[in-house]
Amino acid sequence: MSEARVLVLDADAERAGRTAELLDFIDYRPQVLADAAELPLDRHTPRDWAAVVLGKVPDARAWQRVLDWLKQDPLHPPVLGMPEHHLEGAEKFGLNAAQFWPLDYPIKYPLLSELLRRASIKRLDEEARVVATPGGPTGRSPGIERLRRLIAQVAPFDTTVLILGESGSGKEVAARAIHDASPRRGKPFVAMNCGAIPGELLESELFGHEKGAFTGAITARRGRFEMADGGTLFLDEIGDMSMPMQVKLLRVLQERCFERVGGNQTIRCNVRVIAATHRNLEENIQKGAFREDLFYRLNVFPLEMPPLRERLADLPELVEELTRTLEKGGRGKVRFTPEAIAALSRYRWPGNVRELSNLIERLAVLNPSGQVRIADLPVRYRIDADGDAGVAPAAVGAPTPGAPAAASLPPAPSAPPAPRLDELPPEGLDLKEHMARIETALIKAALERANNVVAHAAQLLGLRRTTLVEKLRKYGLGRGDDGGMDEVA
Amino acid sequence: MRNLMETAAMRQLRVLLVDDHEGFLNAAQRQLRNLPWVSVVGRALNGLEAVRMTEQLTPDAVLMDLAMPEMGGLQATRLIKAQDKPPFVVIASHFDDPQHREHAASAGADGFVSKMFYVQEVVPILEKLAGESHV
Repeated sequence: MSEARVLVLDADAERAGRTAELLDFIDYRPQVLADAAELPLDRHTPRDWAAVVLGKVPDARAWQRVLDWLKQDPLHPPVLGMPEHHLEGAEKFGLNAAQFWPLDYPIKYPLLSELLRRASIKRLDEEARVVATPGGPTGRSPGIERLRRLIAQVAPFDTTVLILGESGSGKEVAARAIHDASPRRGKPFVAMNCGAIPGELLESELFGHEKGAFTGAITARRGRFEMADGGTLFLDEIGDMSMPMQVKLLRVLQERCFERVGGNQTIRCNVRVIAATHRNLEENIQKGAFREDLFYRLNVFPLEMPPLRERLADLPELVEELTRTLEKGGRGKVRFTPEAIAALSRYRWPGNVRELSNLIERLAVLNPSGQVRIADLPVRYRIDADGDAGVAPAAVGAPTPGAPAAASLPPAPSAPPAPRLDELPPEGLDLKEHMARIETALIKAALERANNVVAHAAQLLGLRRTTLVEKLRKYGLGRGDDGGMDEVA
Repeated sequence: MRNLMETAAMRQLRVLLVDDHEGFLNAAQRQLRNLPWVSVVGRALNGLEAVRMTEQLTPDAVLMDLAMPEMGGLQATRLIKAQDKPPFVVIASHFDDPQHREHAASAGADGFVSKMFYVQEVVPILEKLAGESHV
């Protein structure tokens, strides 16, 4: 949960007021209380706030109560202590350097902004860490077993690894598995998404910078190579790196040293590099977008991450693992019926494991009852045994072979009144046929209202034009081919 | 400045605005009103509302604040990306730095803008989206 609220506990009303003003100015929402005793603990959780500003404490016991309550959550927000707490605050409150940060008064806007920025990153990092799946890739499919063997093979050595795989297929999971199986496991694992960081920031992010190296460089800063020292550096989306950066990276890989931006001190590099990409690097080399020499340097040990559709046998285990991790991360509980799992096992998963994880998280949040049946899945995941998604019409117009006999109901121009949407007749009904009838009726109504202009009808139904065209074809509603309907480009 | 012909060729972009600051929503909406090819179809005050409204309204793009109570922009992005035909999602963050950008990318966001330069950064993204031909 990303938070925009800051709790200000300060009996010094004037100071509290100034603090609140400043927070407001920075777009945060201050909640000001003179005394910790005024805070209704039963109506809050520690993570409700991005930070807690601690000023004058009128009731030490009340503050201790709030502090103990905060500490019950290991990921509670940092406490920003006013000057009177700087000397002993951290020790007295039992907070470490990651949880207690000194705040000067008068507050300087850049410092406050920087502390809140760090608090935001800390929170995001912690939330991401909680849902990271430990133990490497999940499953027992041939593709994953092979991957595990390769990981075991390459992990003990400092060999550079290049992981190839579609977006969301779990390349970072594989990279972490290599790190955890390597002699560097006790040291940092630092990841960097080269595609997400704007080109001009990439160099200083990777190599660090010295004070004054560029406008805004008010202090020296370590880059990710230094942060990964002794450990592993994971460069994701390496295919998105600019040519000049590729040259610099190649040099570091060859000479095992680098300089910070704006610096001339050579820093030795003791890092194991793992790179990853979803792009076809060989193609990019042909296009002149990727350097061949860097490619050969990275491709010493290529590792392929199979897409989810090639390891569907792993799906039930993945669902279990993801459900457990999401629950542990406080993101909700959910259980799938066997039929729902079967449907998911028939889906193609263009977004791979990440798409599966997002789906599970969505269902956990929106289905608080916790049970997911096929009907609870978004339409595109409801693949029936025939391989049709969503409302697969049993037969509308022309019966399809193998379709249940009851379903060959020709659609009347104005459809007969369907039972109320949420009403199940005592004898039950054919759900597919029922849904097909509703859908056909609505499509016809939309076409009528839109004067048969398909694009407008699509808008009325909240569909893309092409989706509606598909449905028209599927239901045989097109009045023939070309001259049948007016289509607005 | 786009000429009339170019504007006509751009498809209408339906946009959902999400932010816990109503003042920010009002300002954003005022600015986007200047663009005839943008239609603000709804406003949400937190991530959970954003998920529900996205499902109801099926916007083409969701412009979403990162830090919000109840549910933040990143979790909302993940959930939205799991619905049928998910829209384009742009995260707006008070802090524009590599770490926040990486987190937004991890959540599946398609774009990232800083709140400080919101309109300047958002409009080109929307223009590109609207100008793309849809087959």
